Amino acid sequence: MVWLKRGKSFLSLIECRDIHQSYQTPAGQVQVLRHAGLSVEKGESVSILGRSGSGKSTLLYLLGLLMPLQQGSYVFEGKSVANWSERERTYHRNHDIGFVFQQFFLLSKLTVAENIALPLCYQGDSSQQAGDKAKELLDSIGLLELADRLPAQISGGQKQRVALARALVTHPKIILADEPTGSLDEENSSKMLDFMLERCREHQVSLICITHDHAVAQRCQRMMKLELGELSHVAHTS
Amino acid sequence: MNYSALWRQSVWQLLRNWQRSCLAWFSIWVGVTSMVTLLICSDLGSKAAILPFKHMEKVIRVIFFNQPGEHGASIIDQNIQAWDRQLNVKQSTIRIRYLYGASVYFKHNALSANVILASSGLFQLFRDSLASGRFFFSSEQQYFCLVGSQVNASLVSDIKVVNQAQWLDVNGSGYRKLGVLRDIDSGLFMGAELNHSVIINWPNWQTDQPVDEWIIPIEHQQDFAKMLIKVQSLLPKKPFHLIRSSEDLIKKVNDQRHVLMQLLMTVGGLTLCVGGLGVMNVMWVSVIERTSEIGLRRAIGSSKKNIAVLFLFDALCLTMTAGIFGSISAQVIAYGLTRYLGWPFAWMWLPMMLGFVVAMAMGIIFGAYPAYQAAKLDPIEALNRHAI
Repeated sequence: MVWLKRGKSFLSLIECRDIHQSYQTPAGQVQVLRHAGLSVEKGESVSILGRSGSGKSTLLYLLGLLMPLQQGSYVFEGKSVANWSERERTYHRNHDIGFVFQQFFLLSKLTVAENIALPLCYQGDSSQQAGDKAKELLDSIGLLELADRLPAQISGGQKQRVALARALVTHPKIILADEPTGSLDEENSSKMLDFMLERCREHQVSLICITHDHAVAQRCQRMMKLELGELSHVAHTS
Repeated sequence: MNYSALWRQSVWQLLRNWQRSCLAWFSIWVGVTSMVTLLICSDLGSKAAILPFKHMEKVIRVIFFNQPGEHGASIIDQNIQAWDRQLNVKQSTIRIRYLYGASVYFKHNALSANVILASSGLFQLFRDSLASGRFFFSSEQQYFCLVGSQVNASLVSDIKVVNQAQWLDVNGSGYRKLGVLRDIDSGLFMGAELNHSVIINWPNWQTDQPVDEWIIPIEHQQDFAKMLIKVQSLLPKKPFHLIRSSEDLIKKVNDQRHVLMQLLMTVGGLTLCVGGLGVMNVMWVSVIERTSEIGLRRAIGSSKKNIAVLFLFDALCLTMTAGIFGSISAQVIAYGLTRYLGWPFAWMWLPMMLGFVVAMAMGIIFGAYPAYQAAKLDPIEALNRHAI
């Protein structure tokens, strides 16, 4: 989808319109998202601010192709995802999307380098190739000394950087971060944000950062608010 | 998919959760060990049972239960010679008599040995079993004997002059040692342990001696069944007698082995099934424990198939290592048993391979369902379940 904005030509990476998503619970149907619309450009960083239970994670899973779309339209790089098969969704999750979770989700039995190499193994790289690429990335972000350590042997801040490296290793088009600083203290949180935004800028990767922390949300180029399932634009922060 | 990395992870997983997996692992190990041991031992046991008869090729064997005395009946050598003529066999038949309680002396020293009186046709059965010397011939009227390996060992220890003729005293008569039989691996031959026997020449002129066994070798071109009927028609009702053939015996041994194997394989199979259920249980626990790992793997691009293969490899790693160790243990146990029972031992690859394949099949069968369930997990639900 191409249109003119501030006199420049942009290709939207993600274009969602009128999304409705609900869950069936024993108590009845719960509407999580209502008329949600979102557009993210290539290389843009967007934060989505919302309280617990506002539907932030649901939106993230939807955008990350982990959840099928119930109603509305979701266009990824000009292609509608509504008709994608499970195999196509898996392929795009592996090649185009990177996830960063609040709980890091590093596999405890694998070393840092092996954790980072994991998505490459699903692309068909050999252990050797994937390991080399992971170490190359670790070197470029200044974490090479952690390569052979196990997740239990590194700090929380380092774990989240490793998780970000794992998301970046496949050169995705977008990073979806779910409360990336939620498990970190203030100092580490700020460092992590700097690190993440810098890496995204450096690799020309779009970022959607979901948070309940206003200070964190303000660091992104654009801030949106999710309230009672409705998504609204708040401000351009930079 | 990177299979070497998957194997490495599976081995790691097995070692890390060893306490949880060890019972299932040992069940599979016990199942495979018992199954392979049974296969090896039953095969070696059958071979050992048949071994004494391998020289006999195709023969009909008649065992007489002679009852000497006024009202009893006995078959004597004269009868046999007459039947030989009626049968018109080209090869001479063999007459055997066991001299129970016979005294054997060598240079005034008593020897512990069985004494078998046998006609010269015996060489047909033992033509490959002579260690030294020669057989006696029917034309030889002298007192000649062959000795078993163990009897010969006691003679050799006594000999002072090499190449000196050795004479044994059997029931007061002197017999010259003509040859020595090879060491026969195992088993009894016609009621006597050959290694501990002295076989003495049954000259043609001793026609009034009772016969305990009559062995009729069948030539290749002769019809075995027809010859059997002919022999049966010749034999009188008294004394009581049994007719056996080497083929019957081998078939009986094989049948017994088959039945025994089926029974024991059922027991082994049940043990393996119990082990398999243990594997399934371990895999279930593993799937529950690693739910969030499954969620993460799905999020970063793992397909359902990748997840299923991951868990299947874990199950295979568990059962295959147990299978390998089980097969090796079985060979070691079989070696010990054969040494204890005096059977000949041979390294057998086929039962080992079978044990390994069965263990692998156990991994696939009992690991498939938990692997399928793991692959089916919803990635979001999995991510939200537990910490890794």
